[in-house]
Amino acid sequence: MSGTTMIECRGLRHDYGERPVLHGLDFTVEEGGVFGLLGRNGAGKSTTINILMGFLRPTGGQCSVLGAPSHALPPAVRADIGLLHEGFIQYDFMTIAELERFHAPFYPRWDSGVLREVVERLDLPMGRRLGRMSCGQRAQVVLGLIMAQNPRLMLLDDYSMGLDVGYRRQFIDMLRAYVRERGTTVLLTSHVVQELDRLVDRMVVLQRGRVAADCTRALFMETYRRYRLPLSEAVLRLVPDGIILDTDDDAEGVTLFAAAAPERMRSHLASLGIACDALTDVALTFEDAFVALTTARRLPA
Amino acid sequence: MLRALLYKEWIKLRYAGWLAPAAILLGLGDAWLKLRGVRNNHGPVDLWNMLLFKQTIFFETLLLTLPLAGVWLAAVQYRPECAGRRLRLALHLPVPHRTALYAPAAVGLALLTLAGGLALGGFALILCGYGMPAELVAPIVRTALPALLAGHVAYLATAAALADTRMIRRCVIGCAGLAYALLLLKTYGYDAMTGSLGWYALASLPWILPLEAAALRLKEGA
Repeated sequence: MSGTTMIECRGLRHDYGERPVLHGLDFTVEEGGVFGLLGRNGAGKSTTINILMGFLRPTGGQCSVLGAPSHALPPAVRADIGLLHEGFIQYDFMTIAELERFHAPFYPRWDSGVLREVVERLDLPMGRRLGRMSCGQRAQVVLGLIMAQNPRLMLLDDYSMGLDVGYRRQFIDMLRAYVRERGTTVLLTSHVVQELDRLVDRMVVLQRGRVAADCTRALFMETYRRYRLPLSEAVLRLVPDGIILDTDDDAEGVTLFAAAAPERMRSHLASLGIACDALTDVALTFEDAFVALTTARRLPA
Repeated sequence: MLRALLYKEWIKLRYAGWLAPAAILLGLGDAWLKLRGVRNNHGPVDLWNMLLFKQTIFFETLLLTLPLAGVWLAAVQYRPECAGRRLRLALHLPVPHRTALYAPAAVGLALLTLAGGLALGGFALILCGYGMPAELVAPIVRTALPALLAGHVAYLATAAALADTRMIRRCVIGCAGLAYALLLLKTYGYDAMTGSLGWYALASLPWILPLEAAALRLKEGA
């Protein structure tokens, strides 16, 4: 990573009339790697990506993409950004060959080979109209068009929409190989998180319009953990406090979801006067950690 | 880049776009048949009487096809451009927003003007073919000019209605466009609007604004 800032959001706010959606988001995306903008439905993902794509003017704060304000990106900057619109929007009245002939003159670094490789892999004729393809084929052709632009930054809005697991994996593999080869920066959103741990390097998790987590994937998996403690009166009195984010008790014990590695968790529980001898660390998948964080009653301190 | 934008319009228009000039041609054919019918059935005196004294608008079909051609061309160009938020693609192209937005409109209006111009030229030739003097042909042909202007208004209103994202605004724009086009089509004699046609043309220029506003609303996420 060279440290060049590709996207910078500072105090980003947005509201729809009386309804605030974003409450001052702060995050940056540095050059290189895949950045996930994650969150449950209604967390503010779509609003944020629409602001980043330049289709929504924020009501407060600043958002710059490749150094330009996101709501007024000049044409030269737009040439460096590959956009994948939700639902793989593209001119579906055109054939693949026509799409290439139309798009190529706009992008000085257009690379025909990338698109043709995708089309060959799909075993599609260049004369096939986009509107006559299946959702999975369409997704890959649209991604192929974006990759052929050779952009510095790709913004992929809900790339998983309408794709079955097989096509999602193909899409991810294709994207991963491309990013590894070219060092392109990718920001993506998806409502399906189960495959993202194979893809994202860094992530921001939104919850109710606020940043709940902003870290690398490795740190995310290290930080967000689930613990079990046997039942006791003191354990039952535990409440979310910024380190413990949520509690759930059953007949045998209490499950704690926390933003703390085991050592920190032990010292935190000790400070609350709770014995940690029987504390067990329950393994979490990426999806488990994501769900636990986005449903937790407290945000991390 | 402009070539690429024009190429996209060619792809949209290459099959369905021909229907607009074909409809105008039908209107022209209808005017020719009516003239021929009057001359063959009633004789040249009645034909002269109809044109000189009654000033009958025997080319209503031609007048009507011009705005209909405008609606059709706009639909063929702007429906695939705007359906399903596809206008976002055009607004992200690395060209100024107005270039991306108005390239289709420029192509459509130019085609409409060309088709309308050729139709009016053909109409003049038909009238001359029946031995009408230039002093009569010119006002009859000029009578069709407001309809050509109505075609342009119909084009812009249809484009704006298709570009807009809210149904209520689409309806308002559509109804206003229809009312404006009907106003321009209304005529009681030959050459009745010649003195005011320039003013009507000027008054039609703001019809570009709803298209601009629809695109801006999409751009700003309103």
